[in-house]
Amino acid sequence: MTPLKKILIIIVVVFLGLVTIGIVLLFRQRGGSNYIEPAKVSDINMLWPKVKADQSEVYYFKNVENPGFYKMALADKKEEKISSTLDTPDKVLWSPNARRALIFITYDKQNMEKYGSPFSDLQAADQTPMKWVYDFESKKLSRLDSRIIDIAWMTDDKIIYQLQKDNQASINISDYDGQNWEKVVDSPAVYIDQIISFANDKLYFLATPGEGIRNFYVLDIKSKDMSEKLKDVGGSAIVNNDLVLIEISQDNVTQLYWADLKQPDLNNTKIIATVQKAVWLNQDKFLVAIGGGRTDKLIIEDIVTGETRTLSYSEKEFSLDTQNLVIIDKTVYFTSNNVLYKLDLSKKL
Amino acid sequence: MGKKEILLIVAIVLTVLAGIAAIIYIGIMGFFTGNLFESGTQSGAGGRGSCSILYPASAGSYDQIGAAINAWIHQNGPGSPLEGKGFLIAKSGAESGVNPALIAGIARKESSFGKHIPDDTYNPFGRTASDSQPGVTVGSHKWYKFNSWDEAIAEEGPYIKRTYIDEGRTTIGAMLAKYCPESECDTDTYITQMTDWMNEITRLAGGALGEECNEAVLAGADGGPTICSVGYTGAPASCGWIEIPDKAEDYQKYGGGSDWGKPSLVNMVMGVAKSWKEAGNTKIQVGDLSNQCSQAPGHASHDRGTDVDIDLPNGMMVDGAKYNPQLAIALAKKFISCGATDIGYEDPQVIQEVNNWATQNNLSGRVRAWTGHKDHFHVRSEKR
Repeated sequence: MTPLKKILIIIVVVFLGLVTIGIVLLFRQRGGSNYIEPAKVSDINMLWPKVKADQSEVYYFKNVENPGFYKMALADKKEEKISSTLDTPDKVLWSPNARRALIFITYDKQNMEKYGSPFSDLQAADQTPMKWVYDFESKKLSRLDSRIIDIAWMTDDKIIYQLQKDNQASINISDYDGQNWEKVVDSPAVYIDQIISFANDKLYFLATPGEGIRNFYVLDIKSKDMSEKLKDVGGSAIVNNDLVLIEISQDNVTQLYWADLKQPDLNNTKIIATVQKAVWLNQDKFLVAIGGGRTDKLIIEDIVTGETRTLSYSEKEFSLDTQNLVIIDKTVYFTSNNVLYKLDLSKKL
Repeated sequence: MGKKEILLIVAIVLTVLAGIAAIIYIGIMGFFTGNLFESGTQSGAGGRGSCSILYPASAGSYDQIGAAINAWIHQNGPGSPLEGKGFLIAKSGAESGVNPALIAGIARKESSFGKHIPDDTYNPFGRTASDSQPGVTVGSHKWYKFNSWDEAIAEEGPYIKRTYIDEGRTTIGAMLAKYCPESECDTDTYITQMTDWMNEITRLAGGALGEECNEAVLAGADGGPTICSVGYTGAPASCGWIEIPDKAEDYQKYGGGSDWGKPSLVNMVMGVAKSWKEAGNTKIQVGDLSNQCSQAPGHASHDRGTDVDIDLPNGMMVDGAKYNPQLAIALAKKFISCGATDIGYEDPQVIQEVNNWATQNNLSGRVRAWTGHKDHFHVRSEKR
């Protein structure tokens, strides 16, 4: 073999080796089992989107032009305004069937009165936190009592809320517009810190009675039985049937815990970080978006096996700021910079 | 009376008449140009409203300025239609010689960044329209109607230039003397807010908008001047919040280690602490703020970087043996002087006295009887 042939063989071998390494790296990044491609549902800016249970439509608030509530058919992306023109709220909670929306808005007295806002109330003080309900059938706004602090929708389009009166909070139920209310129970504390959710006749909430220790409670609205399920818990919680995810901070370390409300114990997860958003995927697994401002990681943890998987995505294309995280069937929807994305997890669960 | 004496009297009379004429002339010209009013409002370098509205000579790139404005809008108006428009605001200001932070501040003041506007006007700046201009009439005002947010932003820089800067109104105070005169407006609050907001953006811009305007020393509520900002920038987290130093000469830290807040809150606390100590008082104690970009564990309301617990050693337990309401009153006044919107504290005497004082001084902050606050202040720097 001539020296020239030897050199050529070496070059070919090195070239093939480099190509092989490149293919392996590409597969690991884009084709590996944990790679996932967030798919943009639409380019339109959507605030507080709610995807219909059959995933045929999405409802949202839009303020880039002609501000108000809209719906879009996901098949043909056809958009339709479903409300009158409205100021941009602070927060929106859709009723389960999206026939109505709860609007949280801070009263900007100077500007709202100056510009003839539909939320104007000459009697209201500046910066009053207001709650309104928009009914999409009648296209009418109803203002809720200012003593209503925190609200959740019930399945029959009624609302359940805490009412503050005479330095005592109570939990009440009423029609969506605040009519026909009835008290369920008094709150265990002067006020409830946060109503987490309502499902299967149960209200889940956090309250801080007595010495400043925050506890997790469950109220059965049928039996009116209220029980303190978890003591001394920190940040917000996510509930799925009897499963709870909850953040607890000790000594400047924030860790995510889970609990089965049928059992008394809190269990560690492997998530020791600031959780941006979390969602239960099923009875065994949850998904968390980690990060203070931007999403650094998307992690799935299996609470039965303790196994965690970090989902990789093309960060150059998607700088995520995961918000409004929900799961419908096996598809996770979320917004990032007010754009709606979806993750198909059917092969990951 | 001799000829000389008559001439002298005539000369004196003419001199006096000339002086009166000059005064009247200056007054009339001042009236037409607005400079007479302006000179009464401005108090020279370092006075109220003296911060410049001109584009800083040492300004950096649009990208840096735009990013700072975007971060500020996201902090203070999440979900607003002006989110992400920082670069356009920077460009509009730079090309007109107007500080872009002023444009962003006007949008916040006049419409909460476009959240509240007259229907379909895309007008976040509260600009009025003449009869011949496109607009929407609400009540007795006609508001300018733009075709898009981008158009409104692009127009705002040139509008400020030709309406104020070209008349020589180059400071916040001089501009507001025309834009928001005291006869129509709470000019003082507007000056305070605009100065604070422009400084917040300047801090976020990290030098790209030059230096902050050092006008944060107000007349003291009690016992000397109150310092409302020490210009501390820290190392901002991704959300823009900064960590208050754990160890400092002017205060003591206590609580659960939640030390993060918006720069405006952290600077207010550090400034008040400094002026409190310099007035000869015992150091204040600074409790929990928020966690980094999130809620302080166990403190539901310490979730936005705008809330902090403040204590005084040996003297803030209402009804306690060493309780001194005068100390609580003086400290509350200092925080409200610096823009605190709410102070939770359960002493009716303190509430009444401080709130009366705030009303008399046209300050919007108030002490409120929030339960669970008999032994410390809960200070909030922004309305919810």
